[in-house]
Amino acid sequence: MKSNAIIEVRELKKSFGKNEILKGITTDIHKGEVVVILGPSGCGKSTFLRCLNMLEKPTGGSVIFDGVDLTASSTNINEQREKIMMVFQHFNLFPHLTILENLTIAPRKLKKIPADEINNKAMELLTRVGLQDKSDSYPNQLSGGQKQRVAICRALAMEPEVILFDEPTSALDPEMVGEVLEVMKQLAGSGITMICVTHEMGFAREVASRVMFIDNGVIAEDDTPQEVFSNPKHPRLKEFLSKIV
Amino acid sequence: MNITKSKTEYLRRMLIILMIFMVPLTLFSCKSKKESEPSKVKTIDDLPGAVIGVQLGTTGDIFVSDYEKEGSTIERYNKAADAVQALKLGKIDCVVIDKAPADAFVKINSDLSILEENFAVEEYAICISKENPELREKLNSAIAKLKADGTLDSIISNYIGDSTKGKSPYISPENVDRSNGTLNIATNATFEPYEYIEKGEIIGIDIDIARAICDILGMSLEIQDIEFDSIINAVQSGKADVGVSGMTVTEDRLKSIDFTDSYTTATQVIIVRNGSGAANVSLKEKFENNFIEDDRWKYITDGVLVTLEISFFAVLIGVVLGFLIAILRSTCDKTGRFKLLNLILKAYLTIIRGTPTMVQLLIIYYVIFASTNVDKVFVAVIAFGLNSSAYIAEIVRSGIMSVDAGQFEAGRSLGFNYAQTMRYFILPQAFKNVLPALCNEFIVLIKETSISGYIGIMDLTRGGDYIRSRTYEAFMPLIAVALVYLVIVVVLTSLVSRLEKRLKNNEK
Repeated sequence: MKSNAIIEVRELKKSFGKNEILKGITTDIHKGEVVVILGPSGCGKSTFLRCLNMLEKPTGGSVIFDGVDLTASSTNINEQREKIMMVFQHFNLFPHLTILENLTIAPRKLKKIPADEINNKAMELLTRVGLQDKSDSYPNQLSGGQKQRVAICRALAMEPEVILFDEPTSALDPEMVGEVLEVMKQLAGSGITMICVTHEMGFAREVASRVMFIDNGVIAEDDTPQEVFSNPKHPRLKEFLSKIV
Repeated sequence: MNITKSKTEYLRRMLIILMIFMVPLTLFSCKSKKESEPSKVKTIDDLPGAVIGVQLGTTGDIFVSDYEKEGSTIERYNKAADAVQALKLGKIDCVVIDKAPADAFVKINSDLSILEENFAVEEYAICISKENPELREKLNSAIAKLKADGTLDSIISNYIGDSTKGKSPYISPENVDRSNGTLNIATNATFEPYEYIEKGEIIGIDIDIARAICDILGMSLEIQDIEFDSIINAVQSGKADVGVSGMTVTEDRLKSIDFTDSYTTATQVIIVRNGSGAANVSLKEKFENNFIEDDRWKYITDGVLVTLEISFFAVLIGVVLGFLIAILRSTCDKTGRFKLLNLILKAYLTIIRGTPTMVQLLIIYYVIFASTNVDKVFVAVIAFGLNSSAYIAEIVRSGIMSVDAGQFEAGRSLGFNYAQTMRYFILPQAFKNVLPALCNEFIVLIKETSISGYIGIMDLTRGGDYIRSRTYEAFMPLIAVALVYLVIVVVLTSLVSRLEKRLKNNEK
């Protein structure tokens, strides 16, 4: 199992000025895993996620994706990012493009996939999340939940190996959280590697194959959801869970 | 269907607004009380304390400046015709001006007279750079020859004197060998009869003398028509070989420039209102005089083309350069790259935005392109383009900065590089955000080109000025020029707002 790690994180450090957020994180993430990252706010979990696709440049350590060191200056990070998509808290859809164009622009421009082919694929994806009739709409015409489903489709259209979810439901009205989690659940069964920063404990319990608890810039606990939720060991994790549940 | 309806509605509204502005303008323009009163200046002794009009930089200007100590107010106008116009309207008490143009003015303005006493007598000469004594010698010998063989007198009498006018036009001898190069003269063709424009051509005593000199020296003649107070600059900087523009030798001028021997004497006289009131001319006659006669409308139409040409290419340069600067500057803001370049660009923006456009135009023409003989329209395009680029750069940069940072991260996270992210996601949104501000900048630019006349370009504004200098009438040419600018701006605004609407529709 350990041999097919898709992401190897070694002694990852990140500081903003004098403020050290990540103090050396080492872990392996394997193909097909659904990792949920928990932690109190300010613990560095979002920063950790953003270091995995180099949206934040680490100040130390390395991130090795599929054998390629992303922190090396010789690495073409743009090529590697095509395989690691990200879904943002605030969706970040492109408001000047239609929903269909939001999905197709990256495959068309970066992978040079012919328009017909990618349009069909995009429609398929939209149909899967129940938004096929929105293909010609613009992002501003959609609700938050719809936007986030589109954002997930945008990521999927690139056929990535890993998708990073950065608090995908935190900016949503409560009644829209369900529809997004539903899509993520479907995705979890498909074999794609998912790393999610989220506060949805239900999702973590039900869907995650592994739960990582980050506290104060280091991984404090890393285990199956059953272990983490029913038998937490780290005192900070116990405190965290008692506050949340 | 809706669109066509709203368009006619829009046009109708524009017309109504225009009418509302035009009616009071027309009424106010009619009469002021002072117009029919005679001037309080009756003799030279009345000059102390009076309001005296002159053309800026002329000898009249230099002479009357002494009266400032005695309580007179000197109003300096760019054109003699403007001074005369002000006198007619009662804004000033008299105009001190050369006799020959004064005769021309008085002839077509029955409400003006020339005082019998002459104000001063002066000698006209050709001004030439101090570094060119060789050419000066040649010119002097040519002038001497023209004096000796009577050519000079016959040229002058062809323009001055009712009985001799038009009887002895100067005709160049045939088969002149013009292998000795070009004599580039600077003049200000608003000074009848020495230099003025008729039927689109610069003519006059000075011009004929220059032609005669060229015929003797075996040179070909090239004429630059610029503002009077720029002539000495032009000669000093080598933009022109000589200045021939009814110019008097004065102490001050001799400090910076040399003169040839004088070719004629002229008298400074005083024009005053005689109290008879302006003859009542019907609007139709005025219109014909200003636009139909001599095909004067051509000054407007030709001027529009030049204004549009300058504006179009300046906007092009401004947009290309402005976007480039904005992208480089915001890249530095975002990523910390190009720090040195950013510093240089910042200095560029500070200088361009911190100095008046007109000064920039003059500097580019007289300093940067001083020694090369470049097309003036090209100079104007460069000057206005550079000027506009500074403003557009900051407009676009603010647009780029106003696009949410998440858009940038989304683009990068999909695998787009920095430039692609800019191109596909940031700039299209930034452009839409700044479109109204850009349109505003274009409007400012178009109107700003009206200062092109300072380097002698016949743009729309200067075209109107020419009509004024020939018809001595302010109202019609100015309103016509204003209307044309207005139409250009309205058309541009409606085009941009259509584009804006189309871009906005995308998002609704």
